[in-house]
Amino acid sequence: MNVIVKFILILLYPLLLVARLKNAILRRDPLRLCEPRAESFWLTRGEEPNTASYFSESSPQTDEQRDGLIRIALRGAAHCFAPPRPAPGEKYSAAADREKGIPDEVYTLW
Amino acid sequence: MTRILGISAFYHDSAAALVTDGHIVAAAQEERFTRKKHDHHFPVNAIQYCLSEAGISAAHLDYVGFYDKPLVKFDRLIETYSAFAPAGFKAYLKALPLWLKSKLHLPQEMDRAFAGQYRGRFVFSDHHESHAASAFFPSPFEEAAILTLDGVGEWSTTTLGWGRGNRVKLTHEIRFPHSLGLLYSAFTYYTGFRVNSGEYKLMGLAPYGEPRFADLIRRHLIHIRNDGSFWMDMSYFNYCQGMIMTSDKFHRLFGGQPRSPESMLTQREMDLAASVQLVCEETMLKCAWHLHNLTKMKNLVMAGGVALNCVGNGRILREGPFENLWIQPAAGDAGGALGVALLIWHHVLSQPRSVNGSDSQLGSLLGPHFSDEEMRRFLDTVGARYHTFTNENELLDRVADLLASEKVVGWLHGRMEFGPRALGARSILGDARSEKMQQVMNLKIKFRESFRPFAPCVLQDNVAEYFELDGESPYMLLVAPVLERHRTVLTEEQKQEMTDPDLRKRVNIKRSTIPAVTHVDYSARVQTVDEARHGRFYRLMKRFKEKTGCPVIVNTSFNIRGEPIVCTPQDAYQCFLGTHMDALVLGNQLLLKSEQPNARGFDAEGYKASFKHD
Repeated sequence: MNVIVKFILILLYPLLLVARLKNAILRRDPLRLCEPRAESFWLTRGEEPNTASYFSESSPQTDEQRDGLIRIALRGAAHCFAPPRPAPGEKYSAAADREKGIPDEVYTLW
Repeated sequence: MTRILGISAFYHDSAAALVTDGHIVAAAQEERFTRKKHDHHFPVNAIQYCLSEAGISAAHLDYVGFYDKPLVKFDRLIETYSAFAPAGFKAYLKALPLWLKSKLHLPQEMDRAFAGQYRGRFVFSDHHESHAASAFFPSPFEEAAILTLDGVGEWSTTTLGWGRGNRVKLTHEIRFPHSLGLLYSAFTYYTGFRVNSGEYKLMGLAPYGEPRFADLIRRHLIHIRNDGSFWMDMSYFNYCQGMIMTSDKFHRLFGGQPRSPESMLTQREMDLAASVQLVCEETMLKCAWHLHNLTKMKNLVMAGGVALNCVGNGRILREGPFENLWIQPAAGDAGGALGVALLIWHHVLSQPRSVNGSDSQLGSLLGPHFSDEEMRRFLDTVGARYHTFTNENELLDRVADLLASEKVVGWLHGRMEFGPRALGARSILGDARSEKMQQVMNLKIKFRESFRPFAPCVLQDNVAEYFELDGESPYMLLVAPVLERHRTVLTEEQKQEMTDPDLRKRVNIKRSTIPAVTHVDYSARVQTVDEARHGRFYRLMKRFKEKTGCPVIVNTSFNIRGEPIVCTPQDAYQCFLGTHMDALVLGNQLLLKSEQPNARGFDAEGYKASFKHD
């Protein structure tokens, strides 16, 4: 299955390049890679979460930003790999685990 | 009765915490059960323990909360790969399969882990809100300013906010990839230590060095404003797009490739450690001052991995604007499990919070405990020789005598600690007055680097007689200087030795009346011990003081290098046999190494080899 997943990821990778190009054209810098000319680097956080937002895996702010084709495509692809429902009495084992050879320092960021 | 389970998982230090009607019932890290340090797997064992502590099954849970919002984190990943494309192609291919197969299906994954028994909905809180909740809600304050600092959650790496009554609110943030935690981790990596566990070593190494690279760091790597906010030049780092922390430009700036793990430490690494530590402390202090200006509050609470930097914490307490400081003992990701559970109780269910002058962390003794009967049954099974003491006074008398005669004692009593520090429930103890203790413990007990310092625990009533600290520090999260009157003046010869490249020589110089716990800069990571939190451990220290006049002993975690802190009597017994520990106390049982029939035949090398060096 890993080969299929990687094949899909390779197929979708050009969308990331398009997203980068789009950001460059729109002068969008979501990671603030260019140093902002500001007296302070603090950012004001978005609105306080309400009760409903605690039941969401997402947040209102990211929902607004989620316009990219790559996100839609990747999440669509993920549906094909959803873990099976638990069988009664079945001992739990993770649907997937980290690949070997990924150093801790980068794994914790992913 | 409302039962809430909090979970942190999939990154490092997976954990579970159970809160019933707002009270913390149990909390534990998965690593203690699986014996894999910083275990990132879904914490099935820790969950099982929490449920068994309350005598319930998953079907009895009202809410289950996860400590971050996976889709927000996924957004951050996509933005990062797109910002660096095509540079991050390899990382993209390594990272995303796990997302497609598991992390994007978290509710289903958790359903599977609970075998369908839990029928409620899952709650997802923001990573830093979980940290903030873990810091504020168990604190002894009605209101407090909140500072969270870590590597990264979803987007935030540092947040400011406040807590009042049953609410926490985060108002400001610094976002990925600009991260004080990741800056520290980059130097941890560069100086040849393992990220996520080597940060502590780097902090311990810092006092051996001079901060001669601090200006270079401030000029090139991180630009820090007076309000504590910062921006990092990502051309020096590689963690956004690569498989290592630092870039070639970083290596050129500091004049060489990263140090190979386990190779000889040089003065350069010590100076690098001192430099990044200084920059980190300065930034933490500036954040604290700015937060005080924003909130005007007198109390500060902290959480996040950087809040385990107890040298920085000590400076905030001594030089910062706040009158009181409380830090979540499980400040890293494990504490997020507790944070989300408390958030559900106070925010989702709007339940009130009461404060009674003391924290509600219960000494952070929230893990499994074992009865005397269980311990004796185990010891009989393995053929161990032991003495059972039905009278606590006699046991404490004997153990205090052993400590006073420079013996090293393993101590397992009561519930296991939640968080990375051993606080007297799963500890290795020694005499702080002993000149040889640090070397013996490092090389023959812990099998770890000789330069690493040991922490003192001191009776609460006597803390101000030994350290520049007059408050309490029950969770060993503050570093304070040893008082001048306990320090030893170094001879010219000793001063010369302090520049010797061989750190063992520097370590062996006696610096105070409690040399085993006095670091080279006369600092110590202090744990204060009181009867209410620590019970028998407090009484042991009292007995030791009665015998020796000294209210300070060495307290280090009950494990060897690379091993999680012991959980069960079995773990403790293995560690006892696999090291040069002289005695082991399991509840009311005392074992002496010299009497153990199994000691000679025990495969100590195999035991050591079973844990990967951290």
